[in-house]
Amino acid sequence: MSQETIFRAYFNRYYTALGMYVMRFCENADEAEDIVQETFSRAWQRFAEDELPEKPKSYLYRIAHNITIDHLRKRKPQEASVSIEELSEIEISEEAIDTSERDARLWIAISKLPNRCREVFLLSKRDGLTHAEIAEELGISIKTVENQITKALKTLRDILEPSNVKVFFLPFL
Amino acid sequence: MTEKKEFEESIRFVARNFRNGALLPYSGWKRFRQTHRISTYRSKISAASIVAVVLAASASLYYSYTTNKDTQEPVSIQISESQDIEKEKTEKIYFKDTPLKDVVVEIERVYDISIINVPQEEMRITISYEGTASDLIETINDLMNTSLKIIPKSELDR
Repeated sequence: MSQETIFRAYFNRYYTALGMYVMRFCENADEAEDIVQETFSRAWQRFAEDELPEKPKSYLYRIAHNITIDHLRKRKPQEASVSIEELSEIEISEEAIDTSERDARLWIAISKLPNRCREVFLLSKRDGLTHAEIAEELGISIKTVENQITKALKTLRDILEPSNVKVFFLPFL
Repeated sequence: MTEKKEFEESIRFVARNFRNGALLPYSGWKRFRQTHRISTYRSKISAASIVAVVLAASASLYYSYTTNKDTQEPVSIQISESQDIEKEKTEKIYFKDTPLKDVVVEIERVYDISIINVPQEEMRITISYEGTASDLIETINDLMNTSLKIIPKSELDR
């Protein structure tokens, strides 16, 4: 198996999860994605030179964590923020990684919802609109709004059911 | 934190920050590849054929792609399925040296979906696959530089 194939496998496996981890500290998805891209850029340099890290998953999260600190410092250079300093001393916990992987499954699941279902769901959960407000905005019945939200939540809960998790074997994990 | 509270907390966080199309592996890889000019699998095409292996998010597969009528031995890699991050239908399909247009028709039938952006030029593919439709289409797009897109039939019926 080529280095690129292995790298691509890790990329697919951890891209969204790393984004979720980073997004806990920065403000938006675009910035999180820039950081994740940079994370894999650094990792690629090692993979391309045949220097596979001993624990790739931990390695990727550590890089993402460090790049996030750098980004936050650049954004607020004058701020002696305790939170940034604390962040730089934080050990990345298994709990944080598990949370990011859970968030990633939800993120991807939301992206795959039917368009109308996702739209209703986000108007409710992201924008805080009431069912009546959503119904009026989209020109649909309140019952339809309720059904769409119920459908979305059921889909998302099913994603997190333990039976859906399968083990993914990669060399060097 | 209980599981229910973890779920609710994650839902709030993800929904609050969600942006459609962002932080997805397929689009992320396209951007990454452009930045790093990583040679695509097609660049490994020999005069007669290519053999390549791609690991999609929820499938394992081997395939060979020929640019002419010459045959090529496929390379088989056995890899366990990845973590199932979607609850899509999983099916098995097999095609041997089949025009992509015919492959698409069969994928539509097997997965009960519709696919658009099918290229008109002649492309043939040999593929043995087990997994979800979205990963299959992502893999074909990546390998053959196409832009196939799945439209759920429910969307067409609205």
